[in-house]
Amino acid sequence: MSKRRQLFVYLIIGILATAVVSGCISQKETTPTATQAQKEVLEIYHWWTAGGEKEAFDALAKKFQEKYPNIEIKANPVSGGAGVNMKMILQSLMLAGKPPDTFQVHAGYEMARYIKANQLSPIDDIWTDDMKKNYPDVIEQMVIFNNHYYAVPINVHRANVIWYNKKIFEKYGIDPASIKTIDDLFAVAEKLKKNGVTPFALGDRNKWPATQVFEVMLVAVGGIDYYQKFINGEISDNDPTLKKVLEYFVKYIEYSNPDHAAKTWDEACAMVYKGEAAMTLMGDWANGYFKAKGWKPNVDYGAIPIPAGVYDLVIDTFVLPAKAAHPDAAKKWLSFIGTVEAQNTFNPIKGSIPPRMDAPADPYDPIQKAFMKELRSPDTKMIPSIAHGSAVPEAFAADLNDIISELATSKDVNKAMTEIINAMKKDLIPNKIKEWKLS
Amino acid sequence: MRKSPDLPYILLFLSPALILVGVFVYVAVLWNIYISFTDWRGLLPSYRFVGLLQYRQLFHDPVFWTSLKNNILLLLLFVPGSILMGLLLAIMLDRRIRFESGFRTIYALPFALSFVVTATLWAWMYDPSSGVLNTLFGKLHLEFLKSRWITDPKIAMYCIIIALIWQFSGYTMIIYLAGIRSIPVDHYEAAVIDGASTWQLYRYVVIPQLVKPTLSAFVVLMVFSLKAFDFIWVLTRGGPGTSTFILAVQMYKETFAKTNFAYGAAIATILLLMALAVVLPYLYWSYRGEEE
Repeated sequence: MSKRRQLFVYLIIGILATAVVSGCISQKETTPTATQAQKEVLEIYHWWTAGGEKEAFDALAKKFQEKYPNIEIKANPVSGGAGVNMKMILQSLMLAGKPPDTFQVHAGYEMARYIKANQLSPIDDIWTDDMKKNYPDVIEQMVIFNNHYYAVPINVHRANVIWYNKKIFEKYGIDPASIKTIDDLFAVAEKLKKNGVTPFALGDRNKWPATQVFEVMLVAVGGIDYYQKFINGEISDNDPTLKKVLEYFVKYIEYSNPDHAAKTWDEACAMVYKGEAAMTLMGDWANGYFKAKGWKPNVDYGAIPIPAGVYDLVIDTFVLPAKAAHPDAAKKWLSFIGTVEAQNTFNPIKGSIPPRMDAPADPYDPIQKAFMKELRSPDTKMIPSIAHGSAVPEAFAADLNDIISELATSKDVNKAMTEIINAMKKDLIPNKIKEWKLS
Repeated sequence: MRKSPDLPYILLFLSPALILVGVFVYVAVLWNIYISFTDWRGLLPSYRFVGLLQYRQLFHDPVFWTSLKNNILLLLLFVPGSILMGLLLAIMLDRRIRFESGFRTIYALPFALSFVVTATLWAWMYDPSSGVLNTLFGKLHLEFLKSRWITDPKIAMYCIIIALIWQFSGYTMIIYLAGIRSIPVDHYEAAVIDGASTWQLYRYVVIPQLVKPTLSAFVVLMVFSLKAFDFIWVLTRGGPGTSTFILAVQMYKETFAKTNFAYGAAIATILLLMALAVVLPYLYWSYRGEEE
């Protein structure tokens, strides 16, 4: 055998050895044990890992297992707020053709990346008439793409809430009930500022809290119709309303703590808790934060929806991947999620409210009860959130985060205007796969 | 190279590693370059060839130029900064001071910490209201030194560079200390006999012999500067706005937040070219050095 040939043979042996060893390893992982084979497995991915969230999911899983003792839940919690890390894991699982049986995703455009790639199955048969009757229309609209249902919402979070420190409000004689519009809010802010109090706490180090302020200004200044136009990408160059919205946003920033870009949303809440600022605009997860600090709702702090009569929706849902290994178990899970029983097991612990209008309100705190009442009122207008990935394609939301975060420090309204319109042309309109009807 | 009779065995034992590296590094790199010539946008791959379209768009993207500018700032300030600081620390430690090993540990420690930890630490330092720096300046009545630090788009990138220099100085110090200590004692003795001052000793004897450690430090720091992603991501998320974007941050955002895979791949390819521009001359130089 020549030298070169010998080398070649050795290399081949090496390759084979590598293949055999790696083959053995993967073989071991996939061989089911006897007990697993009898039970049907339901693999679930979610990002509820923080305190409270985790307990809420565990309670939900326990309820499900009481109903279906033959289905074993294999939960895969992936830490990382709003599922930033989970998205990447899901992506590689789907590319490998091995998605979980169901996973958590925000309602609306966050599902679009999977739907466009045909990675989700429509679940029209899960949506019974009972569910259709009891879910609000806009929430239903958020899980419908191409005339098919793709997800079941389990909770409702609200993004447009001003949380205030009651002690400070009482000290300066401010009546929270008098604040209905954005101008009312700024009048109060002016009064506080004159007294040397920071009116708003903001923490936009992670950018989205600034975008959340922006979207509240969008609906507060422009109204529902304008909000609908914006998320449908129908804003033209030099739009005067958009300019006004951005000016209001800058005004909000000027009433905020100057170090907002170094803080996170919970650090902003801490400022309100410590009395360093009077208010903060945050989703109702702030409610959970204050309660965890030992504050009592409506005693130590209160909530003012801004603008009144608008419900800015952030909704968690579960979906059915097209290549799920156990679609029957997954469908049972999805049907279960759509029941009052499941939603009232999960939401009181998680700190959100049930999307079903017929869920009893007893297990919730007074602020949540008020929110539930508002959600069920026919006068309330509902909007999908931009900052939380529901209302617009992800690419546009990502650009908007950068543009608004820059505006928050540069305060250059004209530059932000041009950039928003450009991003709308580049990233919203080409990726649009649905037309919102909010009014 | 000397022909070794053990070569077949060496190859046999290396082959698993060679194969894995080949597939997961080199094939992946080639695949990435290929993707950058396609129109892959969205979750599932699309391999339609579109030529240089992504690159053309990239060159018209203002964010790309911001990122590139910040990468170049890192190369121009962070790399020489760390080298100078490391050299200075090494020279000071080389004075046979007491507790040398103690100081060595203190200076080298930041390098042992992960980017995520040090970035969080510096976020506390730089916090404009409750941060260490502004509090300290306030206490010392040096109000004029107070600043908005990482929340000011004009200086945020420089704040990041200073923090990175802090983290890497210990590493270059170790390289230089080893370099200084490996200089034969008779060189020093000869210089002292010739009546060289301390300054002259370092200027004419020590520093000229530190070319090799400098080059290794240079290459390692250059490569680190290209992937300072985690540090920046934890500290500022590239903000305010896009003011502290580097190419790696933009690549991450385009690829995973916007699922613009082809565009992200184009940015990654440019990053690769930048890394090669640094590493290839070094490889050439060190290979030639070995041959001589």
